[in-house]
Amino acid sequence: MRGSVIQTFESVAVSTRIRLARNFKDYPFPNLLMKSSHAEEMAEEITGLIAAELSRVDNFVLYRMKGLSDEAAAFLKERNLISRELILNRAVSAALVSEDEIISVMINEEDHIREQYFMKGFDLAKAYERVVGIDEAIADSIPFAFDEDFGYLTACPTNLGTGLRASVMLFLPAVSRRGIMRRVAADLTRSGLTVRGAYGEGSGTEGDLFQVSNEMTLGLSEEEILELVERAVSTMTEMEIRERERMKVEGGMALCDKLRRALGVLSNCCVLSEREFIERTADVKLGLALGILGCEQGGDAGMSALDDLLVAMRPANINRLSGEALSEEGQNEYRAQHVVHALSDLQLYY
Amino acid sequence: MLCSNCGKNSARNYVKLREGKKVELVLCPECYKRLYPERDEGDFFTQFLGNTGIKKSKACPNCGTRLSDYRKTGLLGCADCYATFREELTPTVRYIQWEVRHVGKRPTSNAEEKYDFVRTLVRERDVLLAKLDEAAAEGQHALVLSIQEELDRINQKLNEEEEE
Ligand SMILES: [Zn+2]
Ligand SMILES: [Zn+2]
Repeated sequence: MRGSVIQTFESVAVSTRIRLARNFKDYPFPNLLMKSSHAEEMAEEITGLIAAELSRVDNFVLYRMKGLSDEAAAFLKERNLISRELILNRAVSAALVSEDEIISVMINEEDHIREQYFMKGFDLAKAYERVVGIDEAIADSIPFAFDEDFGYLTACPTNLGTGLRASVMLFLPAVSRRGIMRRVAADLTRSGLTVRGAYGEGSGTEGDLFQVSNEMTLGLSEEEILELVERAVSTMTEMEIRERERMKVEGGMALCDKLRRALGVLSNCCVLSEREFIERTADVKLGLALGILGCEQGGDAGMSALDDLLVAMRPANINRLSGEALSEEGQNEYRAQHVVHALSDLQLYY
Repeated sequence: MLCSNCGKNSARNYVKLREGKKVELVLCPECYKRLYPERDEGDFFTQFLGNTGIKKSKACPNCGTRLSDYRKTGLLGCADCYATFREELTPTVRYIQWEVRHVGKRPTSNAEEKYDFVRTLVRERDVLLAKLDEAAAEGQHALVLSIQEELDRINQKLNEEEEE
């Protein structure tokens, strides 16, 4: 056994996302706008107005969803830049994505405007500050729907008030494998937070990734919401690291065997399904976090590189990378080849 | 340019879709608001029914959404729905949010003033872009150039507005 258990936030908190929901006061909300006989015209106007404001902030790429292939839409979704709902609303929806793929403004998702900042690592304050910059730029010439009691008005009452959703993706292999996730989730719910699996609702514990976010958006200030999520992430991180330490002490040969095998498979496979890739990668990341596996550039850097690989090896991303529309079998072979190379570059060892 | 309806106020260009075709309108904002309220023909009919005393549940005067629609979809139809159904929605909001009183950030800018101006420019630009496509497809080079100039002028105005 090589090192000690990594104690950093980054070994638990994978990514941070801040989202603000806003609406025009004089257009019907997207669900109704779509049914109007002027849908196309209104959508074009809304898109034009937002694009005009954003063009002075930064360089944004405009994607009109109607003109986008299924493949291209899936690619953006896998990169966390757009949502399933935006694709469903494709007749009227659009996305403005910053060139560095950190800011995306979704147009005619559930609300007219969804401003989002997505970053690796854990920094709620920075993410919020950047979204506010975008929000203020748009608010400069667009009067948002606002009510003294209900705050910023949204199509669904679950987003009223601040319209702010702060989410942090957590890697919780030790907590989740100990079987205490359900209890932890119940505790968080009581404090006004939600936990869900990374790959969508009901997706279970794939990859040991869980997203924690605020449940309430009204009656708390933006700062209070960020504080609430911040506190939850700190508590969860502490708990996870303590569980990792216990796991390492209690795990013995069986644990060591499982984690080394995962590295063995990823370093030597010829065919690799997405499911197996997610599962084995979680094991290798856990191995790095526990110091049972090592990485030439350091355990944290190894874990971060594997997180990038998890995105790059999703189906639409593989097709983009390979330049072909591969079948599932084709993707599994491509994934194996790519992962074997990537791991050899990373110089992981045990 | 004077309003083609009242002939008194100064007019702006508006674009409407009528049976799939773009129609350009030269109207003052007041006349435009009166002639083209932001709602569908269908909603006019439901409002009409409401006024003749035929019993119907309350509908949002702006978008026609009823509480029964909200109960089906979980979504409101427009910003005015919240004022229309404030009483009915307050318990729902309290259940979901635990609170019914916003305490966070609020809009501060004087966006209202800029909004009409910017929107008119964006609309004009949309019309010009469509014309540009047409002219380019027909190979009318002189027309393409003049439209391009017009577009540059609008884009410059938009930028100036934003820098203020
Ligand atoms: Zn007039
Ligand atoms: Zn309404």
